[in-house]
Amino acid sequence: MTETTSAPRVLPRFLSAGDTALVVEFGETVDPVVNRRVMQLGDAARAAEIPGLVDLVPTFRSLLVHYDPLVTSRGAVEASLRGLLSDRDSEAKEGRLWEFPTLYGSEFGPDLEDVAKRTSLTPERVVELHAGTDYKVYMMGFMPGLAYLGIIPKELELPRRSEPRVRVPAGSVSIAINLTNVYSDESPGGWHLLGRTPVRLFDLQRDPPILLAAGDRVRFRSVAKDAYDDLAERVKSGDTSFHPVDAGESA
Amino acid sequence: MDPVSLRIANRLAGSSDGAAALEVGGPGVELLVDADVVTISAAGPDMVWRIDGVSVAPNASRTITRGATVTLRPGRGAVYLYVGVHCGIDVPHVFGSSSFHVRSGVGGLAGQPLAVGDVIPVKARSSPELELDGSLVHHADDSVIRVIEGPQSEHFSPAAWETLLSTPYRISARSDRMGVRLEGSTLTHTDKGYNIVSDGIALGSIQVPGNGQPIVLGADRQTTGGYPKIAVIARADMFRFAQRPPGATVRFQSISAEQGADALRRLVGYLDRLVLRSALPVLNSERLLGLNLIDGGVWE
Repeated sequence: MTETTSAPRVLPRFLSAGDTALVVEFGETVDPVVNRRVMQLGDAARAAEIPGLVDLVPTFRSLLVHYDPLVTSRGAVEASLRGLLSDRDSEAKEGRLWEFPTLYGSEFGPDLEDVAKRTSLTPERVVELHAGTDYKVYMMGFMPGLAYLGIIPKELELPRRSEPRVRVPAGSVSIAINLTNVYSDESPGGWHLLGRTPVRLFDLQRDPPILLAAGDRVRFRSVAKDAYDDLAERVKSGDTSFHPVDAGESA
Repeated sequence: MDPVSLRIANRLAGSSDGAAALEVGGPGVELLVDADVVTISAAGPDMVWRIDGVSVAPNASRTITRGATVTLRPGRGAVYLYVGVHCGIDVPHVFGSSSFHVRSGVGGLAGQPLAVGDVIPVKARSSPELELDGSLVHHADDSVIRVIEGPQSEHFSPAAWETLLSTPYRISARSDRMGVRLEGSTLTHTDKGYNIVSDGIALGSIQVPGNGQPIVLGADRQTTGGYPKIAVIARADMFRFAQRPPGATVRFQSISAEQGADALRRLVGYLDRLVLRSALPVLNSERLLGLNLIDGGVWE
């Protein structure tokens, strides 16, 4: 994954994904312009209520379109989507802004020291850089509620761990390559763990269960242990409600 | 994993197509009836079932009463069988589905896989006993699986595509509802490599990680992934593929998306024309006494 600064204005490619889906590919990299084009087409396709369209999966750089071939055909879906392609990039709609209280380092972020060493920075500087940037949700994926956030400051870029962990606790705030994420549940994982937030990204008892959506913005705020514990206690007692600090333009 | 057998099980039980049913894999299951009366069905290729030790026709439904023991085993040449219950199994819908997703613990009975001693909530009602007229559609050329080009076919050379279509692949025992691993000739990536920036994954996608051994992504697949997908199994063949047991081989045959849609149309036509016939009436005084004659009478 490499970041490019500008994606040329070319038509996306329509790729086969079997007989019930197709992929509209805008690029092959993690790039804010490419991602915005994916979202733009996804929003337009959702609004257009294309007959036979079953589901849309927007990703970093492509839109997977599931359709029912008994109702429509690949050709008809492709024609509808081509009709929705805009020749201009829309103004990026400001998504909701979330601020996640995060306890960096110690057993909550067991890789902080290692990341500092490998990036030739102090642990304090790693936290400052990670918490000092507003990220965008490029994609939801991997497991329920998990969001891929980017793009992290260049100084923090590292490949994934060579030995993935078997068990990463829910709420772990981590980085790999040019991205950061919060593990929405306990899971195996190969990213570097910088800290932990008590915010629950996925809770079936909450409405809606999934907190973040593609296009949202996220920032991490470094908090002390007692502030972390207060929120963790509230979450543990069953109150997993959490609200954005800015409702964005979609509200 | 096999929506065709699932649908047949629900039809046999007199339930709607979307009713919640049991998917039974591995060595099978033994159920004890803890309701006054219930009509249950079982469907799957070569499946075997017994009620109180007495063998029952495959792909059929039976009305049974409290205390009866039902043993069910998937066919030796298959993986899954499906147990339908009249009116469906009573589980809440999560995200519009009554399915259970093992990895995330979403859905099903309190987010857990079934374990010995669990009680499966059902509405205790009876419905006519039925049998499938004819055999399941599963056996027609079941080792030939049709595929359509995948979104990252450019990550493979024409030789790799040729290998996929001309050599057999064996189903690995390390397979589950998320991914079915295949063992066979290595599929070599071009210099575009085996890491892609993640994109969406359609059901039946054949992804090829660095070791060149393909993995077919099933019903519990992740929504997105970072390995190139060389091909996608035709939706009309996915149920037959899912029923191929570990150690069995498959051969892939290339078709177009349009041909895939035609095949799916024929499969739906088969399901629409399914003939269910009444099971032979076996009435004796013990059964009559056990049946609920007040709600709806005996159905034979």
